[in-house]
Amino acid sequence: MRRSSSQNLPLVALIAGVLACPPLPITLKTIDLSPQDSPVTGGSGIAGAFGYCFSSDSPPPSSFSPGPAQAMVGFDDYFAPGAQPFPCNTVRDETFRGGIKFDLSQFDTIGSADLLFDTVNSLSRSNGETVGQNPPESFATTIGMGTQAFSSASEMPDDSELPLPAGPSFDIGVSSQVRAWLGGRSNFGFIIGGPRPTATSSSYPQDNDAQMSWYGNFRLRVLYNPAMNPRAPQ
Amino acid sequence: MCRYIRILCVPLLGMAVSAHASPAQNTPEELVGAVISAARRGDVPQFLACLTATSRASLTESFANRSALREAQQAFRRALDNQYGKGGILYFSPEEDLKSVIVRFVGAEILEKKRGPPGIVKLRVRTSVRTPDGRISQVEDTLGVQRERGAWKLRLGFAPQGQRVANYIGTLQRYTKSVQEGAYKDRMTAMIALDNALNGKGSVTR
Repeated sequence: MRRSSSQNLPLVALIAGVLACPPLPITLKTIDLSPQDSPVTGGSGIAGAFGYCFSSDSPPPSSFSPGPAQAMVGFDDYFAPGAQPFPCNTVRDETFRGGIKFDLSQFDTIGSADLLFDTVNSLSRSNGETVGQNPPESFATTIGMGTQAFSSASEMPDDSELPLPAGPSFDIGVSSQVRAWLGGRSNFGFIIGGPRPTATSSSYPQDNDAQMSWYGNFRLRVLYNPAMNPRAPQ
Repeated sequence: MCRYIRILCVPLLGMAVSAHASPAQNTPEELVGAVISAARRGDVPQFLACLTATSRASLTESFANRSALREAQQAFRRALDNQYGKGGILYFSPEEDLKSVIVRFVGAEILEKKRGPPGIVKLRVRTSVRTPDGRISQVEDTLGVQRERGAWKLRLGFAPQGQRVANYIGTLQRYTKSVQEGAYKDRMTAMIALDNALNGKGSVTR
C-alpha cells in the first residue's frame, strides 16, 4: 500500500520536535532510611533434655542479648551427655536470626536500593572458652526476605535468600526485594541468618561452641525519582 | 520467635504433681500403652501416674529450675539494659505446659525388651511425635521401667540437678550485681565474662 506524504506529517513533526527540545532533566534523589522499629533478634532451636527424659536437666541459659539498635545472629550450643544406663542428653542449641524492617510507604517506585549495616561485635566459643574478636567478625551467611511478621510465635522464616559477603561492613543491593514489596508483596523485612541451620530434636550439634555476631547501623539507601514518588521528600 | 522445640521436655507450671489413682500396669507393654494413651488425651494426672515417685519429683524440680534460671537470665539482661542502654528486641518462646508437650506423643512401639540393672527392665522404644510444624517424626529411645508398689512405672533417665542449677543461678546473680556496680566497660565484655563463668572457665575480662 502506498502511503501519501500527508500521512507522514505528524511523524515528521514529532521527530522534529524531539530533536529541537532537550529532554526534561530528571533529578534523582537519595535517602537513607532508618529501620521502622528496633531490630529484632529471634532465637530458635532446641532446649532441654531429649529422649524419654521428658524434662530433667536445665541447661544454662544463653548469656547473650542484642545491644541497643542491634540484631544478634549466630548460634550458641550447650551439650552435656547423659549418664548410663539411660542416658539423657542435656542440650541447648540456639540459633539466632536478625530481622530489620523499613517503612517504604512513601515510595511508589525506586531506582535502586541498598541495605547498609556493620558488624559491631562478635565472639566465638570453642574448647570451653569464649573470646571476643577485634575487629569483629561476621558469622552470618544469608540475607533473605521475611515471610511472617516478627513475633515470639514464629521462627523468623524467610525466602529469597542471598549469600552474605564476609563483611564486616555491608552494602548489599536489594533493589529487587524492595521492588517486590512495592509491587504488593507483604513487607516483613529482611532476615539475616546463618552460619548454621536451626537444630531439630532429631538432628542437633553435640558441642559447646558458639559463633555470634552483633549487627548495627542499619540503613536502607534508596535512589528514587521524586516526580514519580510524590509522598517522598522532593 | 524464640521457639524452642521442647518435644520431650516437660515443664510443670502450676501443676499438682501427684500420683493419681490409675489402673496398675501389669506389664511394661501396658505401661508404655498407658503413657501414650494418657499423652494423646492430654491427661496430665494419668501421665504423671505412670512415672516412678522419684521421676515425678525430679520433674517438679526441673520445672522450678527452668523458671528460676529464666528469671535470673532476664535479671542479667535488665541490668545490661540499665547500664549500657536498652538492647534490641529479643523474643523468647513462651513456656509450654505439660499438657501441650505430651499431646505431641501419638504412638509408640516397643522394639526390644531386656533386663537392665537390678529391678529395671530396659525397653527400646520407637515413638512417633508430632513436631510443632505438624509433621510426625519418629525417635528411638531406651527407657527404664521398674515395678513400684505393684505396678510398672516409667523411670526417667536423669538425676536431680538442684546443685548445678543453683550454681548457674548464683553465677547469674553474681554477674548481674557486677554489671549493676559498673564492673565492665561495656555490654559485650560483661556478656563474655558471664559466658566464661557459666561454661566453667571462670575467666573474667574487665
